[in-house]
Amino acid sequence: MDLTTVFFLIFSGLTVGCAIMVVVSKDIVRSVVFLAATFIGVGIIYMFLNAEYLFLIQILVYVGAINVLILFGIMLTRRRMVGDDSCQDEESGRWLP
Amino acid sequence: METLYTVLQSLSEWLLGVIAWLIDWTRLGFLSGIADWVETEPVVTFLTTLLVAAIYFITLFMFGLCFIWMERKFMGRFMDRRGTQVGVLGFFQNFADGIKTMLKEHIIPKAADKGLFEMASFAIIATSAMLLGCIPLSPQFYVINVDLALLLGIAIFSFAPFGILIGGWSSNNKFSLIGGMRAAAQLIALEIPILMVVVSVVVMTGSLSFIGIVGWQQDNIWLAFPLFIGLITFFVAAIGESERVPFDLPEAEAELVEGWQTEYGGFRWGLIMLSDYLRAYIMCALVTMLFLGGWDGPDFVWAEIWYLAKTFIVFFFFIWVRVAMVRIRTDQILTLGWRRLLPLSIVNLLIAIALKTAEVF
Amino acid sequence: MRIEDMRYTKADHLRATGYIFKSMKVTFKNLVRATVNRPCTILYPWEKLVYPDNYRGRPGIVLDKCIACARCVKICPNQCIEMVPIETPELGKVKRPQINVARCMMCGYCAEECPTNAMMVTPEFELAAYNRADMMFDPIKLQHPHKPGYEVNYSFALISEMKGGAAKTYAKNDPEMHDTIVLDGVKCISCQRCAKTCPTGSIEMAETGELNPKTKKPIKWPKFDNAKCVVCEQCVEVCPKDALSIKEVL
Repeated sequence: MDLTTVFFLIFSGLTVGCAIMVVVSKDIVRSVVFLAATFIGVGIIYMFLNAEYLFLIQILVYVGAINVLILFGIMLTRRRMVGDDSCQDEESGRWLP
Repeated sequence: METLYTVLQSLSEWLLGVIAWLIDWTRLGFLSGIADWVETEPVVTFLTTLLVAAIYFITLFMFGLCFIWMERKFMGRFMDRRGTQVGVLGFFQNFADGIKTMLKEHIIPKAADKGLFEMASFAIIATSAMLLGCIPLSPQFYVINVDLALLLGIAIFSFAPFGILIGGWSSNNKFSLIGGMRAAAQLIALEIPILMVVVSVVVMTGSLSFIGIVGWQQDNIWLAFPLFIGLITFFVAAIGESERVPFDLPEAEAELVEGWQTEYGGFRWGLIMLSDYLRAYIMCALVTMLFLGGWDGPDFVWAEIWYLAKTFIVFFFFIWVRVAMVRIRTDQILTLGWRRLLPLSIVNLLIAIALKTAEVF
Repeated sequence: MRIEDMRYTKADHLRATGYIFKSMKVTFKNLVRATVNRPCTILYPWEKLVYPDNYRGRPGIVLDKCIACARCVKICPNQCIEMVPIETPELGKVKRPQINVARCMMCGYCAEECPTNAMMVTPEFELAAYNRADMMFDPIKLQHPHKPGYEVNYSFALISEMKGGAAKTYAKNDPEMHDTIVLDGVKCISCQRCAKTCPTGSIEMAETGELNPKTKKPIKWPKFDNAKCVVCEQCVEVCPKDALSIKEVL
């Protein structure tokens, strides 16, 4: 159980934890931030495999561009949360899409 | 930094020796194990690393303060007035401002998302601070020396739009949100020309580390001459990436108060402003390294002085552009980034490929 | 030309570049001028601007001329003047104005209203102090060396004369043309308080020629000397029966 294994377990545990939080979190912007943390975690695992170039490209492409794209998609669209009252039609009580 | 590291190492050894002697002086038996542990190798390395980090942060603040001071004095003279006057040539005004900023109250808006609010400011400051170490001052004076330093710089630099967008969102303020979205749009639009110009430089020099690039320029020609279009494109995109006037849409002081930074007060705002100037420094440093030969120059002064002088001259041009021009509109930014700078950077890339294939250099 | 006939040519594209270079040239010229010569900043407090001769700073007083009429007290917009008793060698205990310079807005109205030109404006304005008590200028501290330019004099014209077509102007202290005091004889009880209060001594109790039915003594009513009166209105305020009033000249 040398130091490398300990650090690997810590970082991969953090990555898996953040990935779980992406799904579990109720606020959608927090999900996106946890997604960014997951991408960074995966990048650090690339570093453990001696692929520093992949780590940098991962940060540049995923966190820098794709995550921002996801955030723009969230902020510029209107969305309805599951379970709020606007899902039901007023008079008939039917569920609206 | 090699001799500096050994100096710090001997300093921390001495310091830990004093602590071990103090523990021995109390003559408590069960503490002798701690006294032996204190003097071992990992603890010495740890303390040395802490001291290096402290010196790094002091250097960071001094860099930021030097740039802020230079900007204030030069802007003053451009505007027919003197700049700051407190202290030696006005340098101590920044210390006064820094101390004042530190003493202010830390306010978080009530309905703001607290975790994201803190995280956004932390992300911006941490990435800007991290980048300062990637850039060496000369082949003998650096913090880290990795083969992929240029790509590391650009990758960490591109983390900032994400942080700004989260900061604008979590402030729970529609003007901050508008500022944040404008900022993210502008920064991403201007990153593409930067990356294309960096690709053209790498094609010419064949290396991604600063030492390799400057070494190539020392042997051949400064890249400002063959890649002149790349220099212009990179210069314009660099001013945009640093969110300076004329590209200060995210801040837009007359319209959006402070843009996405509105809700940040006290020391957080102080650090964000410092990171603004650090990002401007990093962009100036990239211009110097990629096009102006880095630390290349005659031998009568040190290489570090050449590098710093060139960086400050590029920053002088940044200030000149700031003083002369009006703010750009959002749609004009998108036109500029995607329809003018991107084709120019592609033309520059073609010139670089042509020069390299013809084996001119 | 109509908007559908306008064409966006290459010259219009390049005009933006001209805006950039021209503005950079202008700012660079300004930089060179401000560095080679000096910029227009005045390094206060080592360098100071030259102030015009009639610069209006804090009020000052010449104590010998003050007659304690309290016209300055009434006219001050910020109510920063108060009459306080001081000891003078010639007249003993008298009341003289004290000014709260922290409130003073340096309008100069007190100097304008002063009938004897004891109050004047001085060019002092650097009045910062470390506590509020130092900003309360008592009459001794309020004194200032006198120069003729520090007095505030004005001249006025009467509306009634201007309507008639004349353009005659009067000086500030014109002894003939100012408001007069009017006595309502029915209310007067001859207490002589007005005569005692008047600072210029322009009220004299004169006999009217009638006799008091009860005491068979002559009734005395105040008689006003218009040349000396400065319309300070102290007699009007002090009369217990409100027998006096001001008749304005318009």
